Formats: sequence, C-alpha cells, structure tokens
Amino acid sequence: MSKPILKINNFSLAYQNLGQSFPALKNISLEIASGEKVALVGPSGCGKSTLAKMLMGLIQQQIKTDGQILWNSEDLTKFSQRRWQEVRGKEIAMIFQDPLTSLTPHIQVGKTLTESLKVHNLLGNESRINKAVTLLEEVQIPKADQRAKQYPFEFSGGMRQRVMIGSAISCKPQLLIADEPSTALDVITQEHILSLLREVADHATEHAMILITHDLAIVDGLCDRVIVMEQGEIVEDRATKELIRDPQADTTKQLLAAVPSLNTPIFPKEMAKDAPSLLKVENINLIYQSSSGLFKKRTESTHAVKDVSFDVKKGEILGLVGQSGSGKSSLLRAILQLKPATSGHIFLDGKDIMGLTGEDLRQTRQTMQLVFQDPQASLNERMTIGDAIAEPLLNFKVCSKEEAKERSREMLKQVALDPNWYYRYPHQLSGGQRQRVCIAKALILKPQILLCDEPVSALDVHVQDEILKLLEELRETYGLTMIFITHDLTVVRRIADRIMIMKTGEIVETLGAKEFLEKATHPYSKQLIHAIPQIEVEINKDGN
Amino acid sequence: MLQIALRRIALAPITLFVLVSFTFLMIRLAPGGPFDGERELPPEVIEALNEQFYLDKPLPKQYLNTLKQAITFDFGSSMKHRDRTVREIIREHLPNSIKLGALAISIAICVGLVAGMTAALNANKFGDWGTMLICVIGISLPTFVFGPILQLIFGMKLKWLPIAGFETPNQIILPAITLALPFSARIARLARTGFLEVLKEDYVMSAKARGSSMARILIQHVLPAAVRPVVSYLGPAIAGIVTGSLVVEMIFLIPGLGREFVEGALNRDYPLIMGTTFVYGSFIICSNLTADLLNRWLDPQSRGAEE
Repeated sequence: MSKPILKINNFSLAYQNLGQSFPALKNISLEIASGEKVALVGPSGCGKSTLAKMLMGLIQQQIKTDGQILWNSEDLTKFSQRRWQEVRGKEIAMIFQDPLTSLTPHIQVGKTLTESLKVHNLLGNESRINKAVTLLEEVQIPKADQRAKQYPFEFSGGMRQRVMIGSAISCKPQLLIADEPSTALDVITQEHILSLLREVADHATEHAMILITHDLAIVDGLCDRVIVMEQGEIVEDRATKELIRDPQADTTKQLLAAVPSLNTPIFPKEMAKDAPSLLKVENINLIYQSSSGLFKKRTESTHAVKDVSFDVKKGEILGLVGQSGSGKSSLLRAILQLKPATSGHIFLDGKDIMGLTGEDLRQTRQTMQLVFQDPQASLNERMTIGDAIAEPLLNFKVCSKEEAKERSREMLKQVALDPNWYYRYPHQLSGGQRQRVCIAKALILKPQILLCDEPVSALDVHVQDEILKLLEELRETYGLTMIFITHDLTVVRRIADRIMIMKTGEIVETLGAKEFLEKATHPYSKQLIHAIPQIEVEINKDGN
Repeated sequence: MLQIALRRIALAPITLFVLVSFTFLMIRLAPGGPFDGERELPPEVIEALNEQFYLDKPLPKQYLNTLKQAITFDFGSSMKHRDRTVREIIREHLPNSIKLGALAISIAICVGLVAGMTAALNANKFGDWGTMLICVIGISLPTFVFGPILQLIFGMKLKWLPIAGFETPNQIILPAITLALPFSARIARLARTGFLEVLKEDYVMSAKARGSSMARILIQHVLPAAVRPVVSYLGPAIAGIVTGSLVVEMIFLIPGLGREFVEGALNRDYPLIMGTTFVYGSFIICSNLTADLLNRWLDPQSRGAEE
C-alpha cells in the first residue's frame, strides 16, 4: 500500500455554543492512502459532514478539537488562514450536496469552473476560457464553448453538479471529497453523475477520494473501502465487498436494509375491473402561456400536460412517476383546479368538477386534500401544530372550536404523535414529525382523495420508511384513495397499487405495481428501472 | 433587458406629464396668488402683470400654456425676479446642487457599504454593535443639528475647513458630509442585511472551498448579490438627497436650487415652482429608472428575460 496522505489520530470535535459543548466526533482514527477511494457512510447526524468540513477547514461555528489530522504529515488543525487557502481547491477539493445553490448565480459558469486554477495561479487570464471549455468537455457537457459563457440558471441540476465536479478536479487535487453529490438529484440524473464520478476516479488513479453518503447502494463499484459512522464514532471500516457481504455493526445492517430495493416483495391491492372510479380524468390539457414583445406580441406556450386520461378507483393508490419537469405537478394543479386545465373533464364521484367556481369549488376542495413535498415550508411557524391541524375544520365551519381541538388531538394520535404535543411549534419537530402533522392536517377533513406530491422526497431513508408505513396504516383505517407523486420508483412500487409513468406531459405507460418490473415496455420506464442503484451481492443463503 | 429599458424610458414622459398637470392644479388650488404682497399694488399694475403671465386667460388655456412651456423647457421669467427667466435661475443654481448631491451620494455609498460590510463580517460582535449604534444616531440626528456641530468643530475650533460659502472647492466638504450622513447610515443597515444574507449562501462556502481569498469572495461572489437592496434604495435616496439639500444649502449658505424651490413655493412664483418641480421630477424618475435597471442587470436571470 502506498503511503497515507491523510492520517487522523484520535480526533475528537465538539461544537461550542453558549458555554455548552456538543460533541460531534469522538476518537476518530483513520488513514487514507493516495489513490484510495473511500466511502464515508452513516445516517444523518452521524458526523460525516462535520468530518468532511473539518478536512477543508470550513467549519464556521465555535469548535473545540482534540487529536491530530495529518495532511501529508502536517497537522491541519493548526493551519493558518493562508495555508488553508493554498490547500483548498488545490490539494483537497470538495463537491457539495446541492448543485442548485452551490454555484454563484451572477458569475458565468466558465469563470466558476476555472476559479480554483485562477486563485492558485495555475493559469493565466488568456487561457481561462479555453480551459473552461476543456473542463466542460471533460465533464461531458455538450456545446461547451457556448455553455462556458452562460450563467448557472441556464443549467439543469445535473449539469450544475457536473460543473461542480469539473471545478473540483480542475487543479488535480490529491484528495477529492464528494459530500452527498447525487442525493438532491433524481434517479436518472443520479446515475449519470455517479458514472461521471466513477470515470473521474478511474482516470485519476493517484488521487484519493472520499464519498460521503447515506446510501450504501451507490458505494458499490465506486469505492474500495467503506467507513461506517454512527453518532460521531467509526463503527466499521472495511473493504466494500466484504462489508456488504458480511456486515458487522448494527448501523451497517440498518443502512443495508434501508437501501431501497426492487426485490422486496410487495402486496398491492388488485382492483376489480368494474369497481367504481372515484376520480376520472378525461383528456386533460394544460398549456401555460407567456407573452412578450414590445411592439409585436409574441406568445410562447408550454404544453405542460398533454391529453392525459386516467381514473382512480375507490380505495386505490395510484402512483405517478416522472422526472422533474415531466408535468406531474402541473397535472396535480389541474386536478385541484389551482391552475385550471385548458381543456378536458375531471369527474369526482361522477360529478364534473371542471369549471366550478367560488363556493362550489371551495366545497369540492374539502374532498381533495394535498400533502406537499417540503414539510419545512408547508407549516406556519407561528401556529402550534394542534391549531394547524384544526384549522381546516374551522375554515369549513365543520364543528365548534372545542370539538375541533378534540378532533385535532385525536388526529395527532392517529399519525403516531403525542396528543400532548398540541401546543408545540413546528420548529420543535423533526422533518418526519412535521410531515406527520401535514398528513394529519390533510386528513382531518376526511377527504375522499388524498393527493401526495413527493411527500417523502425531502426525508432521509429511515424517516421515509416510517412515513410510508404510516400512510399504509392510514389507508387501512380510512380506506383512503390516493394519488402519490414521486420520482422514486422504489418508493412508489412499495405503496402504489398501480403505477403511471409520465414524461414530457404525457402518460407513457400504466401498469399494476406487481407486474411493473417485468412488463414495462416503454424505453423510458426501462431507463427508470435501470437507473436505480442496486447492491449486487451473492447472498449466502444459509446465513453463514 | 433592452426592451424593458425602452419601455420604461417610454413611460417617463407620461409620468412627467402627470407631474406637471398635478403641480399646475395644486398651485391654483393653494390660497393666495403671486402678487398678494404686504404692499398692495395698484389694480392696473396687477392687471398688467396678469396679462404678462397669462393669468388673465381661462384655466384650460393657462394649462395648455404650461404644458407647452414644459415641452420646450421654457417657463418664462420668474414672477418675483422679473428680470430673470426660470431657465436662467435653474442654470445658475442647479450645478451647485448637483455637485453637492453627487458628492454626498458618493460618500453615502462608500461609507455605507464599508460600514455595512464590516458590521456583517463582525455579526453580533463589538464591531457590529458599534457600527449599528452609529447608524441609528446617523438616522435620527437631524441635518440642522449635525451641520452646525460640524461647523463648530471643523470650522470654529479646529479651523480646518471653511464654515460656509461655495466659492472654493474645500467649502463643499462639510455640507456634503452633513447631507450624506443619514443616507450612509441607511445604506449601511441595508448592506449589513444584504451581506449577512448572502454570506450564508452555499455558493460562498463552495467559493471558499476552491481556495478563494476572503477579499475575492467578498468582491466577486458576495457583493453583486448583497448590494441589491442598496441599489433599490438608491432611487429614493437620490431623490431624498436632491430635495433634502435645501436645509443644508441654508445652513452652509450654498446658492443651490433647493432654496429657490422653497422660496418659489412661498412666493407663489408659479413659473419657478413649475420649473424646479419639473427638474426635480425628471431627476427622481431618472434615478429610479437607473436603480431599477441596474438591479435587473445584477441578476443574470432577469438580465436575459423580456418581462
């Protein structure tokens, strides 16, 4: 084995706040040799991002550290500001989680891309644009020469992450840290980014890489070694293949179990052919129009939903899958009449609800409730969660204030929260608990149909699992009918009875959940299935 | 971007037209007339004056005349100083006001941005509290208190700078500082908020991770986004400086347009009121327009957009 470039000896770190100490890393010891590709895995809050930021000197808070981190036999806990500037970008580079916010919006992409080279004086001004174009080509962005002069808003999420990767590898750093580089992206884009990372890793055999993730499935094939962390400690540190075949620590086992798999057995409900439809959508079209022009009016129209027809039976869960921009949210808006469809019909329980206005529309909405993606943003921070849940009852004047309170407590119990939390505020809750509140709020009016727009996408795998279980339970209790929108095939496969795939405004395929994997014929569906990262192991059947 | 600019510029004359019409109406509604002095004039003199200034004509005709004057920018002679035309008065006094205002706004921007940035970088530390305390004082201290204090210290005690007048270049310093104070304080507060907001952004951290120095990060990555609230404020601020110069002009005996503006109003000097209002109005419209366009230009996304 070649000499270690990074050597961490008994390193501990605690955040200091108002005289209190919050330990984040405890007695970490590890070595990384040049050329090694290591994955740092653990549930959220285990300290893996803190460690990564420590390696870059990017921790802003007050901290107290103990032990050494040797970077090429220099202790980096004692680096000066100037030394850090030399190291960052040139010796150690980092790719961040959210590509949408990590690029400076008012700086041309080409300039961001070559900034590392520029600040480390590895490049003169004249060749900057050329270098940017080369780098863009390296990360496989087409029309690189035009793209280099564009701004980040003209790039999709996946392309922005490519730019981040290009910028990180521009100075050929000895160590590349990738902090959840694909978590914020949809499956297909995730696959593309991972294969790019794999290429980068193969290309730079002498450079080490640390991949931080909570998803063990993406580690396989990218990293030789996995370090598992839990509550600030390293619980397992072994070769990838070995670890996947024979996990030792409980955390590792949990992480492996949490990997969404296409092999888990599922039990979708088969709906009778002649079962009555609760919601029937016929030939819905939704066209957004925007006009521009000073003297001559030019109208641009976007056909977001194209001639979509489907129906949902009473008690059925229909999964709607598609990438961002596929029109699934627009379809949802059309159904709720938040953005009325341009043409078509929507029947709810046999009644045409298209074109309803005023009070009729308001009453109809009572029967269709929505759960949003981001539980952080969809609750009023200044309202107690109990009041938030009771609010719809009062809006529709269903019952008295006292009874609303009582029902809200009952609902809290239903979503497995303590009814005594009535007076808590959203900021006192975790993401998963907030989403429970959102679900409770949607269910309190006893809607006929629940529309869920990516309800678990913002949550980590573990919490995702809990929320899905809750939805399954609630379905049993209430006989709920649901439309479940997501970009994640593993999630939808688990909860939905029927799966509908949407691409560029059209429904390309609808199949029962059970037969979906085998019978999907549309190339796009196949691509979606293929993109899901899977752990390939020869499982020892006898359990040895 | 160009389309928006053209459209907004096309709207400017309409705004001015409304301004002129409204001013015309207000002047006529206000009690008193231009020749109601303490000393009563003989009726035939008043009649002659009225005829000279078009005041004997019916209102619609007067109105049309005013519009014509506005378009040609020729408001005739002042009613008070009949030997001078409004155009002459403006030509003589406006440059002084512009010099003072331009210097004041430059001081306000420089001091405000630096103070705001310092405060943001030292958030919730001594440097922050100190700066913000000075800002509160700066905002609440009236010009007619701050001006004399400066005169007292730098003019009377230290004898570094002249107290008043507008003949030598160093006479502009004290009034410019006086005029700039409340605006630099407001800009500092806006800049502080702007910087704090942007410093939290992910892209600042990723710029740092690329090895950029703090100075580079501040200037290239933070400043263009952080100054946006300041730029939005510049429109109203320039308007405020132009009109607010009146008090400063009085204190420092500067022959500026502000004084003429107020005196015109007090004397019911119709053409002078019209002329100065027209000039100020154009100024305010232009500064708002510039601030707006600059703000759009700072955001590449709206730079390309057509609406």
